[in-house]
Amino acid sequence: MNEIPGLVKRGSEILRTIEKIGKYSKSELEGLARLTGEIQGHTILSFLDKRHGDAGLYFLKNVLSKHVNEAVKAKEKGKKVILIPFNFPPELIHAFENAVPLTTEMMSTMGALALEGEGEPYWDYAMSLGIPDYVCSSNTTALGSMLTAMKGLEIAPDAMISACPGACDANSKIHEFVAETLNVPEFMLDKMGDGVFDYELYRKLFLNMVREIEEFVGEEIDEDRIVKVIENGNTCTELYWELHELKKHSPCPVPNMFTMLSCGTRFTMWGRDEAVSMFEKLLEVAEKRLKRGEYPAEREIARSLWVYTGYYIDLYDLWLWMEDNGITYLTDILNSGGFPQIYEVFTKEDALEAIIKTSWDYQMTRQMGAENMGLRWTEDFIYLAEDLNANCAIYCGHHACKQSQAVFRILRDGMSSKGIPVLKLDGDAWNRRITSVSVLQEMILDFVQNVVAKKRRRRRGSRR
Amino acid sequence: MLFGGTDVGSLTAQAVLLEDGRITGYRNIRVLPNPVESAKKVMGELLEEVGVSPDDVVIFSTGYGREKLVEDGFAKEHVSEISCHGRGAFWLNPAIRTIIDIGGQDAKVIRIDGNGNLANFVMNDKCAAGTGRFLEIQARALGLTLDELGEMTFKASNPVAITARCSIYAETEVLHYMQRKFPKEDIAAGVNRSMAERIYYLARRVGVEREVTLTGGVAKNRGVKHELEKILGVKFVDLGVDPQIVGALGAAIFAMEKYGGE
Amino acid sequence: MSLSKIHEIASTLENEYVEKWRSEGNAVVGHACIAMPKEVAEAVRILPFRLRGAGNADTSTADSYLSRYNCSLCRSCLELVLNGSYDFLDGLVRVRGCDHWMGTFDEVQHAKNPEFMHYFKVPHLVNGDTLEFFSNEIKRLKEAFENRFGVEITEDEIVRYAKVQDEINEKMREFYRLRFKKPRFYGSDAIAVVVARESLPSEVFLQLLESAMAEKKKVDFRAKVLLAGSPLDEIELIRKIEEMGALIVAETTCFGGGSFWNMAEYDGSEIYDFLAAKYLNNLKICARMFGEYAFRKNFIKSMAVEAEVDGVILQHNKFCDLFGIENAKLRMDLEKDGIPVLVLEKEYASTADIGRIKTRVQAFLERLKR
Repeated sequence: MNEIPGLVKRGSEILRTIEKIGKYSKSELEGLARLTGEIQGHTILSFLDKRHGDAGLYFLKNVLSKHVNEAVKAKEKGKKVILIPFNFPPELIHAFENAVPLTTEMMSTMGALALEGEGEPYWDYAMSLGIPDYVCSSNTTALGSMLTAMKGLEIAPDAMISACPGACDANSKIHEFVAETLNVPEFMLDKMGDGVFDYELYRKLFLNMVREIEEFVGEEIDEDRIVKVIENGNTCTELYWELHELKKHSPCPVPNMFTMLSCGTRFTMWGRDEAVSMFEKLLEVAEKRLKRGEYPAEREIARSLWVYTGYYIDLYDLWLWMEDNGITYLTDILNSGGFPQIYEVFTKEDALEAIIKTSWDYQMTRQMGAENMGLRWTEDFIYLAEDLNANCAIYCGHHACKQSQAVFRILRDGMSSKGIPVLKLDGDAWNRRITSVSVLQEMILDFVQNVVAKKRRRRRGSRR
Repeated sequence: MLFGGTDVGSLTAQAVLLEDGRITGYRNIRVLPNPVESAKKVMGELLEEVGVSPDDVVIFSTGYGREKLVEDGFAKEHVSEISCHGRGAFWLNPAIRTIIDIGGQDAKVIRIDGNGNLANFVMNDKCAAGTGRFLEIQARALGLTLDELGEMTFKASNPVAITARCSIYAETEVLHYMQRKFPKEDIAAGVNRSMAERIYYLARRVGVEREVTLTGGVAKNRGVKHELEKILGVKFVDLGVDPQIVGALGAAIFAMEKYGGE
Repeated sequence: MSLSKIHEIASTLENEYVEKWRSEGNAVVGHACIAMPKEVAEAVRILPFRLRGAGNADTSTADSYLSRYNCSLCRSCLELVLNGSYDFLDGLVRVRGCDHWMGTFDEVQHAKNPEFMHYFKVPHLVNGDTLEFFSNEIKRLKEAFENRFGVEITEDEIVRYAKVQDEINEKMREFYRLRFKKPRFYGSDAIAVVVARESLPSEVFLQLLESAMAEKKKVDFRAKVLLAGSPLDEIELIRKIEEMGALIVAETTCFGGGSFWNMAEYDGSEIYDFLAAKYLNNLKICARMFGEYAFRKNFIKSMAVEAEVDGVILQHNKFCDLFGIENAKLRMDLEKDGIPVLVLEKEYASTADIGRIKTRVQAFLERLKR
């Protein structure tokens, strides 16, 4: 167990193999997937499930595989790999010719994708270093994986960005641990609150950071390149909101897994042509499903909105299973993307201002970096619930996020006032050892059948 | 002069007597509600069996209630069970450098140096994962005795994955597998394996140096022992005594080392 | 006499001096961070009072607001706010100390909606931009006090109280040195002293400290230990550890040893800029200050050398991300430098943990061959 390579190295190899997948038939794919073992096969097949059209495969090939393999190849090409957290817009790094982003949480989410033992060996390794078992599992897994770089078993980042001081202690602290241990420079931001002065400080720190990265990479950001990045981002924003609009239909034509695919794209490829194509695919598939009136279950019972994030511990069994049982996964706060906006830009300065605004209002920075985290989270959540006509909310967190745990009461009280029931699951998005998927499924089904469905019936009854 | 050691755990209590550098007797009982009474009972029974008066023995205590036994005047000094397991194992075999002690409530990994002194240690946190209690809960859910549970590892063909670390959730998983009619042997073997995994990452915090031995009640579970050897890549050294008495033995050795010269 | 008075003050929340202070018409404001510039409050006779758990382990009501995955110290404090134990406060100053405190203050607002709760923004980084920001932030704190309590705070008064703080800090250093080579006080005495400092008007505290320092005593121990980690007011826990022979001769925690060693003395410069630099630079001792790990490690090491300790105990409450991760890194680095380390993870004030803690401490002493 000690000597397995890190997530990026292992993942990149599997993803390169997936890149070779062409137009195989379903049974051929199943046969191929079986070669990888039960869990790994399930997760790959779930991406390739026909309800996702070719969006799942496109994501694996052109988003995830590219993201990971560009980092792997960057070393050979003399480019810098900059490790970024989940709440930092990767488009800034895409604006550089000679730097590529690598997203911490993408690595641990990938751990659930296709690797033997999921992310567990890395989590175990982190435990053996003395990291407490209650720290965010996503970050702990990423730490364990990154530190295998000490033995040359992982792509060590050349520098790291911490966007989280003031938003997520676990992430910032894990980044600090890795930076200290691997001896790599760290560029940091700080968000104090929601006021004008807070923004002014954030903006100054951001611009300083850009200068430092330019110096570190040995390249000044090119105006045309960064403007193109923002333009691509704008196109993605338009498509993102179109997809959001489609979610308002009942039954929801947007497959459950698309939330993760859109979120995964936002975290990695935003600003690139691949991201534009990805969102086009998502939209295309969803529109087709709407036109054909396709929905996997007989009817849509639950339109669930997720408080923080979904579970990445068993894609096949959970998201598809939910759809088969008439439970729609509308979206989650993590995927709200800080409600992306269009920015018209002409110069490098405009473009940087757009990225700073985006970063300031990015998912989780927006909520956890607010002056009152609980209120902001609840406001955003209620907005989404009403906009998407959700009839229930489901909370997933545990080790994965103690901030969201802290605001749960405020959120639940807020949802109660809107008559929307909330289920609190005691599981972990990145660590199946906390609660197994089968237990979670039972809890979800129980909630949907006994609370959500009954409430629906009562509401229908009263309408008559 | 005789030297004695008592060790009270959450489920069992032990006493050991040493004379002229040899074990002259030992005893292992189920605990009474009060740890002090447990120590007094197990040592009392042993002394009676050997036919020695308590006044002729220097006793050191370890485990629960060890301080109270000194206050009561029953024991002369107390030593932590961590040092006692280290010293006991080293005395039995000076090649030992790592001791994995798994009791009912606690799991410890103890590292000792070439002189048998404590070099480092790690203990589980207060949840039951990785302790005898964990096995007990799962055995009960499976309707097996602890001994039967241990043997199942060697009868299973395809052990299930028990992923939950928390005992309560692990029990839910066990029940879930039972409802889905998985063979009992496979579920039980999965329990033993998951127990070994819990100990594994505890052990990695201090590192495992050879030779390694397994002590405490769970050392008697052949299935866990087998899985642990596999996952750690070591063969446990058999100390040639009941693995549950190593703590009490260590206490007796400390007594002998300190007062043996008088 | 004074030392026992200090212990008495440390064991309660609203002590007799606070009662007297209030009866004279002065305000008391709760806070939870050593970045709170005491002199700004004291300049208009507002007493800054540190929120702490005071050994309360019952968190039953707080648990329905925060989750059981949140730090037990925060839950303990929230419980005390909810059950009225902190009703003697005229308001709160909230700081984004850590994610758990952030959630705690959110819940305080949700449940109690206090009339005065000022958000005092303390940066996580120390550089020119954050110092400038923080200087303005201290001015905004002053204005918030002025608006709420209808007072005017002059710079001269702030300077006067900054000098009082300098005097106290110097005395604290002197007091802590009395425990280094030939210890004349227990660590539990020292924790009581720092808790009292956080709960008393400065003049009262200074007098008590001066006379307590004369009450030197004979101290028994097996080994000398430095204690580091998360904020700590658990005097009973320290007493239990010391009863086993592990004497805490130095400590680098938050409002304990972390609150005066690195505090600059007033140098006559612009007062707000001075305070910003003084408090933000000192705050580097806290694990919530990113990019300052080396500072903390060196601080602990230099204290360990000066106090001639045999080993270091790194403690944190379960679910504390900041010190949990920090302690893992410190353990690796200090052990590498030949300093024996014991990491203690505990629930705040939980008596159920005592047996386990004692076993670990005893074994640690045995490891130190003491």
